Amino acid sequence: MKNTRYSLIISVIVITLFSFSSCESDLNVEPNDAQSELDFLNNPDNAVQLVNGVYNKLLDYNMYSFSWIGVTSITSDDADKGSSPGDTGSDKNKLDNLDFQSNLISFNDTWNGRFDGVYRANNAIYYLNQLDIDSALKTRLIGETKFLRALFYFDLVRCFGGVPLVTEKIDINDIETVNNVVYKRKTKQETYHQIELDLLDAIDKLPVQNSPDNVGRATKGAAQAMLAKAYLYQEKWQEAFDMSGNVISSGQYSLMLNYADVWKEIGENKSESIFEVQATLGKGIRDYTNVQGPRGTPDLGWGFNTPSLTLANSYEVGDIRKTAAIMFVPSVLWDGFVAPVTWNNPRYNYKAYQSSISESWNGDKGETAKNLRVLKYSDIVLIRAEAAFKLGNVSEAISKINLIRNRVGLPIRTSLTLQQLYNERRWEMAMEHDRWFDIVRTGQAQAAMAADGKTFTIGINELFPIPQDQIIQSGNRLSQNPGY
Amino acid sequence: MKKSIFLYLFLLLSGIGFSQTFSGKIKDKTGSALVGVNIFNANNQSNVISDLDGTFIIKANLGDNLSFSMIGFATKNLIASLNMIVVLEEEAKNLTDVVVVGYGTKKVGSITGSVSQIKSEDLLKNPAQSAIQSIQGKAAGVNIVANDEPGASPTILIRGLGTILSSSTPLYVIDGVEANGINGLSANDIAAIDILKDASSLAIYGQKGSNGVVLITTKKGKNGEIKVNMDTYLGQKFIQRTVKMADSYRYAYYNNVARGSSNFYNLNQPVNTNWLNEITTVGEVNNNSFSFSGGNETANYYFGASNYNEKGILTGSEYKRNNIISKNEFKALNDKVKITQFLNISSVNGVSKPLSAFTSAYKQSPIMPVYNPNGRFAAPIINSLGYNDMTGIERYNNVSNPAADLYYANNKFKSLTLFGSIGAEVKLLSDLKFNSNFGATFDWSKSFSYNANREIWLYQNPTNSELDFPTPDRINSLSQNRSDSYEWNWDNYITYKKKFGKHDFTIISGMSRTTTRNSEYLSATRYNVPEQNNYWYLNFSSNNVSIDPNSVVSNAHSTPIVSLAYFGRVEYEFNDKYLLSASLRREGISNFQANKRWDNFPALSAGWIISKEDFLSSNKTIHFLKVRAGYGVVGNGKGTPSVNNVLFSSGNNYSFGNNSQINPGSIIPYQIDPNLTWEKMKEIDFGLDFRLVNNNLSGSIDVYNRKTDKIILPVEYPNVLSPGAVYVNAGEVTNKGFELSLNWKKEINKNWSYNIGGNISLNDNKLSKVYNSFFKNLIGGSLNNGVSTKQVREGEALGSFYVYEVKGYDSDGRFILSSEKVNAGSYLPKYTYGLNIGVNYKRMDLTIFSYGVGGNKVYNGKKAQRFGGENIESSSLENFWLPSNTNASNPKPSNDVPQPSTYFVEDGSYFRINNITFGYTLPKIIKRIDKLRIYATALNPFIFTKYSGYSPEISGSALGGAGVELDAYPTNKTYLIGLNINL
Repeated sequence: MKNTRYSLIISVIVITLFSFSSCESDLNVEPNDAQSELDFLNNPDNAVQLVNGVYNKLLDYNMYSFSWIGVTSITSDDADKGSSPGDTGSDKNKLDNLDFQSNLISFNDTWNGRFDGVYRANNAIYYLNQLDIDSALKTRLIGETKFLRALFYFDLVRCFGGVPLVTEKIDINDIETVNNVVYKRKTKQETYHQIELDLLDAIDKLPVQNSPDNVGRATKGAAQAMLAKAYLYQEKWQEAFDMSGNVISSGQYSLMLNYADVWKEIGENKSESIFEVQATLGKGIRDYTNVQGPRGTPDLGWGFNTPSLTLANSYEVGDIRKTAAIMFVPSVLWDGFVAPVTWNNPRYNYKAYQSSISESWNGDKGETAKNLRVLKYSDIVLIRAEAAFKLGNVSEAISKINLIRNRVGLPIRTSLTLQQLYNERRWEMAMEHDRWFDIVRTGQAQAAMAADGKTFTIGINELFPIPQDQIIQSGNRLSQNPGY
Repeated sequence: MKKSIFLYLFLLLSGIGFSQTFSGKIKDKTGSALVGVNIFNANNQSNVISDLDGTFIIKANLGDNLSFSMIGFATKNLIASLNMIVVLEEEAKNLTDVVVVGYGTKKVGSITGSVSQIKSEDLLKNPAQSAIQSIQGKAAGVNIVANDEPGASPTILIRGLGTILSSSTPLYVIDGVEANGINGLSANDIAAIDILKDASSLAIYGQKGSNGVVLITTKKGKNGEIKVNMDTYLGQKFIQRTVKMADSYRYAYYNNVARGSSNFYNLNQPVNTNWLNEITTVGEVNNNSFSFSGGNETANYYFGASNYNEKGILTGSEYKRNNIISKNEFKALNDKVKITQFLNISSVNGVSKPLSAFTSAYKQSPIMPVYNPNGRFAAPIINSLGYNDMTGIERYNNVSNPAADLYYANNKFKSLTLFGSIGAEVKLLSDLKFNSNFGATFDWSKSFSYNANREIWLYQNPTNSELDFPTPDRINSLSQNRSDSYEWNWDNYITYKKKFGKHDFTIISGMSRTTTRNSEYLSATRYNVPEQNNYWYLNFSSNNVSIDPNSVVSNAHSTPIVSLAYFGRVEYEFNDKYLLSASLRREGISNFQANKRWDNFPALSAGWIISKEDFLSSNKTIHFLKVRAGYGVVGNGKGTPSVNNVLFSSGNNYSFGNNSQINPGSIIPYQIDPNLTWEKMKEIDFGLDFRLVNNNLSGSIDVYNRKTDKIILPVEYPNVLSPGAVYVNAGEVTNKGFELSLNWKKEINKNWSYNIGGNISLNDNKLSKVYNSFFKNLIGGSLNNGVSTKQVREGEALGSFYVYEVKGYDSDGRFILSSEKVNAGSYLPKYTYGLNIGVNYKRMDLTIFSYGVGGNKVYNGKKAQRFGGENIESSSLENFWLPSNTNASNPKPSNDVPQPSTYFVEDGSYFRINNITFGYTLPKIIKRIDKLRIYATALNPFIFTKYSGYSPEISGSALGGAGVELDAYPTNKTYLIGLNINL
């Protein structure tokens, strides 16, 4: 009796455990909401997707939207905060007054946005090197990614000076590398050096022209143009002269007939465009139009980044660039839309205007089809002119300036001063997120801001403060810029 | 004399002989005869039962050991003697009560861990949409944070905050079905709720139990006649407390000063809108439930149906739920097999209105009317005279019109939830049984939302007409959403129970398999459907242009979490006095990488019922005294992404080409730590349970020290390493605490009885160690405007506020702040307490339940979010800085984004009367009706707090929104009357 009893107990236990031991493999759950690394890498098409993901960063809010508009445009003498006087936009009133505190959200967004981009680029390169795909495609994709990485770092160095240089995927558990690479600021020179390395490699790898389906991807000309600009900022005049010469002589680009068309939809990806952030209905730059759209009735946006009176008064008589960059209120806009007195501010950024009547429009102000022009041919022509002037080649400088002036029907110059050159740049590139950096790098900042009624402190305001949250998170390893 | 001696000797001698019978009588304390008492003679194994008048006759010899026992009474062991009169004492009702512990039941008296039990009667005294809300204040160490949104469940925190993940919900087990909530179970159908609190009780549940386990037993039919029960209540809901907002004059004054103008806003306003009044109304609640049950020796049944209806205080919000529950038990094969089937179906439908309307109502200006003169909803536009005017030139704030928000929100939802279990219990041998239980939850939901785009544009652009609407192909949009989920668990275990003399063993061993987080959703949007709501289906769209497919149709399935566990437990009782329990659970979960999945969770606890010892057994005051101690290890693997592997997301698209073709793009949203493994909570608990003074005073004391090691947290890394948070084992949190609960019950006479109960828990929370260097510097408690209020500080309470200290005012009326941030307290309460009073007089009963917390802070974040032109609280203007009043309590009015400072940190202690119920049981007029009681209840009628905002109870994650009031959601109070009938 006892034996049967015990054997019964044992058999029950055995049967129970046996029938369920096979469940262990159940713990290997296949993911349903995102692709596993193995599955992703097995499909060669995914290489392109990874790089597209890097481009996608350009559409994010913390990349080119409110914060970027704030730190590049509202700070400068070209534009004021705008919108309703009582609306601070969180910190835009402080930016307008050059009250750069390290805890302002715009600085943190600018920093975070670009480093997010660097992360995506590093990841893309890491996986591209492992994927087994067509070598021509791989080369081109790596070139595009390096171009984008250089774009992110160029923004960072212009804003903050030297920054941490992260060019490879880092294991998050590798504390030593993190402390030495992520939490250590390199110098401005080292940062520019990395940008140059990336762009030179990109120039080698990128095609001269894109196929029609690939319009919007980086090209050799885009990499050369960005490199020329990077040289200019470092005052490497000869290199800037040569590199901008490469772009001009490639024959790929030319000035459009009508200056005002450059920022309209009909001017997208045309002859003057070297690199644009592609936006379309349903996949646009988050709130770029909305931030700068006229505020009031009818409500087209928040009304920020209004062109300043000093900008409006600076143009020469008869310069059509004034009315192409500045939307005066009240008036009738180029598409027939009536700009009424019920709009809050007297001027708005015309280049950011997306027409609901004549251009692609689906009613969503927060995400429109407005492309952001990052690099234009006229920019390169101006770089060539400035580099030439600085090298003593005044005739080349005059020739290039006249190209610009001729296009807008202004009388050509026979002689040129540096200030005239700088002014030409201001008028040509008005409201295009370059002004602040231009006045800082050329030493005009104090005088220009004083003329606009603001105080620029030399030795401090050339750089923005490193965001306080980043310093805290680094355990105080990141050093702050002087004066903050 | 000599004759009597002979007679005695004769009788005595005959008594020494065989088959002598002894007789006697058995009575209870009050002297009434006890029928059905079992009398057992240990010497000759004979067994008899006492008859109707309490007499018994048993074969026994003088000096035999007789044992008298009956359920509900304390067993007595006596020596056989002539004409025995035995008095049996009632065992304190609660000690024979059975409590559900993991995979089995135990008598309350023999529990060695910390368990709180709440019975059905207590639940029904405190009606609420969710039975969980009714528990508040009744169990020490259990903190319920109420959620007044119609249909929403409250959150429950057991024993402080041992884990800091956003999912700190305990495990709910409803008749063997593991669930995340009591979704749809009506309070009327619950027989008892047992809450397992300490690690030694929780360890058997392994990873699911680390936040506590709430075991719910539903009612089942009892042997005998059909019992019918009906309950109905009807009531109204109101806002419990409001914050006084500025009126038009004060608004104009404040904002003028903030702008530096004297007349931007005209000080004499014709309009003074109270926005909260415009969007709220008196809520209504109504519940009807009905059940019948019964059974016989081989089967019993319970069937219930209920219907709950609520109209929320936010105008237009509605919630309806219908429930059906069926529970049956069948016995077969001579009681060797028992099959239990339980099924609960609940069908919900409702209308949801955006809660953001409350925040808009808090921020919107009183100078704006609800409607413009042209009948459209007003927009915040001001004219040059300083009045709100639709033809004006400037928009003075970014806030929407709350009444319009409500009016244009058309969102309806429906869901059907089915959960149930089927179990079999097989008696293999007399002391060995096998249980198998399968429980599952199915949920299907659908919802839609309709947006009248053109109508909304028209009210925001008041001077335009319909023809001006820029996108006629998107006049309205309709989104339809569908989702479903299926979760299940299967437990198999064998139980061996054996009693040898004074030794009592119970051994269980088994396995459990669970699948959770298994759901899918589908959502699609199309434009231009007809206006009438009976045509709100996507096929009616007249706009067939296909746009970015990503935004029109979206379909995703979550990755399920599978867990597998093997467990065993040994319980040993010696002489009903010495108790010992040991358990071990080995569990694997799919979340972690293959070599990090499995871990062991042991537990050990012991108890000593001192009152059964000889030196106390006759003590008149101490009726029951037990000391217990326990140690357990419980793991937590939930709250992380389902798979700890590098994953590529899709949807990061970009357009290329002259035709702006959208190309797919992919990124890795966050990095992973391959070392991620179980979070383990280790706890030592000491406890004392007692009943004193004739069973009138009962209570228990617990002291615990809980250390949660390798706590799993989503940690923000620098964007260049990982833009999304990475889940890592970040540090160690300790919770030390003390719980005391006391209950005094007294029956003064036949008419009067009362009971007073109270419980208090103290908890000290500390983030004792941080291993992850990125976590060390983490900031949280964001106010969504760039300002953060919390910071991780090793050695301080988790979720501490870290803000600047206000030192005074500068010459412009702004705060002078300290240069360094200081610790301004934590949102976690240092102590919580509850007090319950019940009084019975003849047929009337009165109960009062109350609850309070103390030592917690709240950050009044909504006061700190200003962009310009919003309304302010009336108190900001009571005493503010002026050059002539530099010692004010409020700063000069300003539109600047304020720095996080102690000005916004307030004391969040509160004491709330949760429930006052008065009931009257009618005398038994109709024979058929067993009991008829009418009652009136007030729910949350009063709250006493110093906090100036809407509610000092704000749930959220520790480093996120917990304790930070960003939205202005008011809490509700309800008054209702009801009726219950038992047939």
